[in-house]
Amino acid sequence: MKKTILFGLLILALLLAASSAAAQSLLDNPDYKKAVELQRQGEAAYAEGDYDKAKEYSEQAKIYLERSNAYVENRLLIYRANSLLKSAQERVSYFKSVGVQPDYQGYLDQAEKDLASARAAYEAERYQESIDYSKKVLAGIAVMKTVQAK
Amino acid sequence: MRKIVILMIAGLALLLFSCASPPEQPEQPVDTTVALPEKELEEAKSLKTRVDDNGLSEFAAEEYQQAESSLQEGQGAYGKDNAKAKTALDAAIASYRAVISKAYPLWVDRSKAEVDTIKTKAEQIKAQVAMKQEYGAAKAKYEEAVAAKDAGNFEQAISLFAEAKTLFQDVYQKTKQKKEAAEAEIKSAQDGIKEAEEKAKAADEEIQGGGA
Repeated sequence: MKKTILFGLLILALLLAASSAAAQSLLDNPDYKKAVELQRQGEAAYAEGDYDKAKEYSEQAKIYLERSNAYVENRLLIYRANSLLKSAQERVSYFKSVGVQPDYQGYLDQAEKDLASARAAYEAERYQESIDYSKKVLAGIAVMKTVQAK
Repeated sequence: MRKIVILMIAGLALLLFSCASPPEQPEQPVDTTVALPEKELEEAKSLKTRVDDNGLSEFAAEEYQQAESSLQEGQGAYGKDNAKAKTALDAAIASYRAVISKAYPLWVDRSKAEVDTIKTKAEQIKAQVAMKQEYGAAKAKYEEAVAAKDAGNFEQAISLFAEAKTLFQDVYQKTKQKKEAAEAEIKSAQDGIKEAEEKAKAADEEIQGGGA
């Protein structure tokens, strides 16, 4: 009974953590927070008449905003690379599991090679390259599917 | 016969004498009993230059007119009626002095008012913070001018107020430039924050929505 309660609590905690992570905004990053804080300081300095400081704070805020934007763009790129890699992997696994007609084995082989390249690029954090390979895999698979459907 | 000739000459002489014009009056003699009022003329001219060069006439128009009129009169009588010239030049000197004594306090007040205007403008945009050192120097000059004014050193006060005005104008202009530069930078950063938020929101939606 005690074990069941503990297990239940653990599941609940995991669910809460998962939902919290999912709802977390990309703005919740240190660079954005720093930029906002610097901007607040800049506006305060401006109100006091310390225009040099105000300008300096806002200039710094812009530097942190650039970093924040780069972070958001990178996170989005990772997400896209990951999603496409997963789709490509699923499609290749599917065709491998069901098998393809001998005439289209070459397409599958090529898709497997491209998938390997996509995975390697992803692991090397070359996300755009990974995306390009994954898209190539999916395009090849789309042809195979059509052919197989005939 | 001899008697007749004598009578005729006498008659002719009488006739000539009676037809002649009356003798000319002698010219009015130059008054040499009173010396030329050279010092008075020199002083009156010097005071006039001081008044004109500083544009003081506008502060005491009536006194200035009197001074001008007396000076003209004095110059007209100079060397002809020295007593009259001296009296007129003394009057001119007194009037020019009246212009000066009336004009300087008014001029100081005007100078101070001009500095007060630009000083207030500079303070309104917080020059005392933005340009602390330069503002301090301008204010020190202003206070020096006020002290000179209070001590009755009007010419010195006017000169110091003019310096303070230049300093405050410079402080105001530079502060304004700094303020505008800060405003532009703050606006740019505000736009940057908005843009970053929009980008992040779109990315959040894509990720949370599961679209690629």
